[in-house]
Amino acid sequence: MDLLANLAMGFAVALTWHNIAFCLLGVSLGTLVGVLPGIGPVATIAMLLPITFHFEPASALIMLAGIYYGAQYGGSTTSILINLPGEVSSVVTCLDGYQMARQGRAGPALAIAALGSFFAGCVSTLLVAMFAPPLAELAFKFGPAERFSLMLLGLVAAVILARGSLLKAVAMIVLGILLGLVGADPEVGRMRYTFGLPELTDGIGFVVVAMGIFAFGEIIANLEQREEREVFTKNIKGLWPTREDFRASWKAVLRGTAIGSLLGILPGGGAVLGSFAAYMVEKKIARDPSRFGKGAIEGVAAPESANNAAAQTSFIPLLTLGIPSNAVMALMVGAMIIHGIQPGPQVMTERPELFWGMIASMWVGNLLLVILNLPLIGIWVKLLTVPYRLLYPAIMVLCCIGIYSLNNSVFDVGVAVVFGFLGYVFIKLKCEPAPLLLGFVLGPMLEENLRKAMTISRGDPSVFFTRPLSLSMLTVAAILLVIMIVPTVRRGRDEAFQES
Amino acid sequence: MEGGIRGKQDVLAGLLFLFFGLAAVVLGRDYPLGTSMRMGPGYFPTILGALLIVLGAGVVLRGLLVRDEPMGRFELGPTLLILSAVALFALTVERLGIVLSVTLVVLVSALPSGHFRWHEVIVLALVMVGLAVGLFTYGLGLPFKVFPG
Repeated sequence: MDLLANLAMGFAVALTWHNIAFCLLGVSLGTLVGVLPGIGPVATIAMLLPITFHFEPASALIMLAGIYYGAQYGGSTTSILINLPGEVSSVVTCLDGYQMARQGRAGPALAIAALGSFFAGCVSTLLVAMFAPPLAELAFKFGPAERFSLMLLGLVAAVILARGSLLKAVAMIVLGILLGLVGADPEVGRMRYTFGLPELTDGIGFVVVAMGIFAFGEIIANLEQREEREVFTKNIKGLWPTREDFRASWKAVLRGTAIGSLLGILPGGGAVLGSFAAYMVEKKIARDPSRFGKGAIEGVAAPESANNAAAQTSFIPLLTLGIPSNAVMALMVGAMIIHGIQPGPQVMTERPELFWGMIASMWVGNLLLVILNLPLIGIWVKLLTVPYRLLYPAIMVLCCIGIYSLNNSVFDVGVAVVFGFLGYVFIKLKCEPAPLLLGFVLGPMLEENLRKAMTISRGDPSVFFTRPLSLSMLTVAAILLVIMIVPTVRRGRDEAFQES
Repeated sequence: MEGGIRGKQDVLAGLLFLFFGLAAVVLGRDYPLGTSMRMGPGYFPTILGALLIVLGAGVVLRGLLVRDEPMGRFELGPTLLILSAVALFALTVERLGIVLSVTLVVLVSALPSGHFRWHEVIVLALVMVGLAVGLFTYGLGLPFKVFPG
């Protein structure tokens, strides 16, 4: 079997001491930022990106991937213990997890979250291994028209993912694409929107935008709310769930894994969408929906499984098509490019050790995470008592160093100030920044493929509708858009976000 | 602004989008449009700019029609301090070196925390300077100047 041989090669890479160490470092950091509210995987990966230049490519990617799915584990701890989501993807976990903690059942909630995540992680690792190769085959058939349509589909999906007004989410995407176009025109080299600044020739750095908005903007917004946190640490008596708990939650774990895996693959999807959808499904099919929000263990099991599954399957579009499906994946693109690897289907054939090593490391990482998050839970809980006033100046320093050392550029740090301000304004005006970032990343690729496709078709836009693959993706995008505008679906979505 | 505009957030957000859309179109006038077969540098940005203007207008309109929950105040103080901390880093890191630069970031960014305590902040600054010098400069070999001069 090809799959087994490939996985064996992957484990040979992932199980070297060197890479286990990097994996451990990644998942520990991931758990750390997952636990700490106010800093997420986007800012962390952005911060560490410049440093990974000094590592081997496989080690760098293993570590960065570990941060992303590690954060999914850590996020649940904060949600359950202090009713404050450590990560956006753990928002729904607060609803029932915190209630369980108040009833003195924080232990079982944490255990189910970790075990569910582990199960989901194993399954989705296998899914990535199984589906990535055939998808990469397919990707070789992609022309500019298909790529353009797929990215459009991804952006439409990102709109659904965004909270709040649809109109604003679309506008944020368009603004993101425009910001992504700043710099020299890729075909004729004409400077666009650079205001004569030579530093902008290569465009605005993605890390600079991400840090400005997701680190500085967030910090300013966080400073406004000086909430008192109530930590349920004394209530962790037994960790192990009862037989009843297992009986109640195993199906929820299965469903959560399935939903998360599926939504993770979708471009524009990811951990957040997966956890929301899984929670809604559990509530819909439950015999007694009124238990939800009052400490139902399924309400913890399903979304926590889903967000971890989705975090891992969201690597599929990146590894097979070279298209990042969310902000974290966009950073992974950056990490690959730093090492001279062009993300896309050719990675699998040209650098199989890298590709399979990373997949195998996900399984290793999940195993490490269970150990980190169950027996060692006490350490993370202690971290929750570190006050934010000590935390954010440290984050500020790390971000400044990170941005500067990307290109040793003072100019970049200045640009980050501008985006920090914009980020705060966006938060205040309830404009979700995630779609902007996705648009920013996809913008240049979108334009390039549009221009190529139109040149090949001699200026005939029907090319997007006559090629079957392209047409089917545009159809899916159109259906998604129509569904979103239908009032009942909209209300359902609003309710789902409202509950958080 | 009680009673005046219903959805203040939407109106302001829409105006922001309108501004960016207009800027994209106006600045983009200088860039050749090309044809649909050979798109010039101005083609795609102009379309996007126009789209953003339409979307922005839509958001403004929605803000005028739909009531939204009241908007929180813009906190000018923390905003200025946090952003100044970053700007100070940019201004000082190459001239004064990482030790002073990191100290400045910690000091200035800790000001708006609401519980500023000198001893805490000094310890924090020492830890961060240690990290910046020990880990980043010597450990990872990032090319920082440590001290001024």
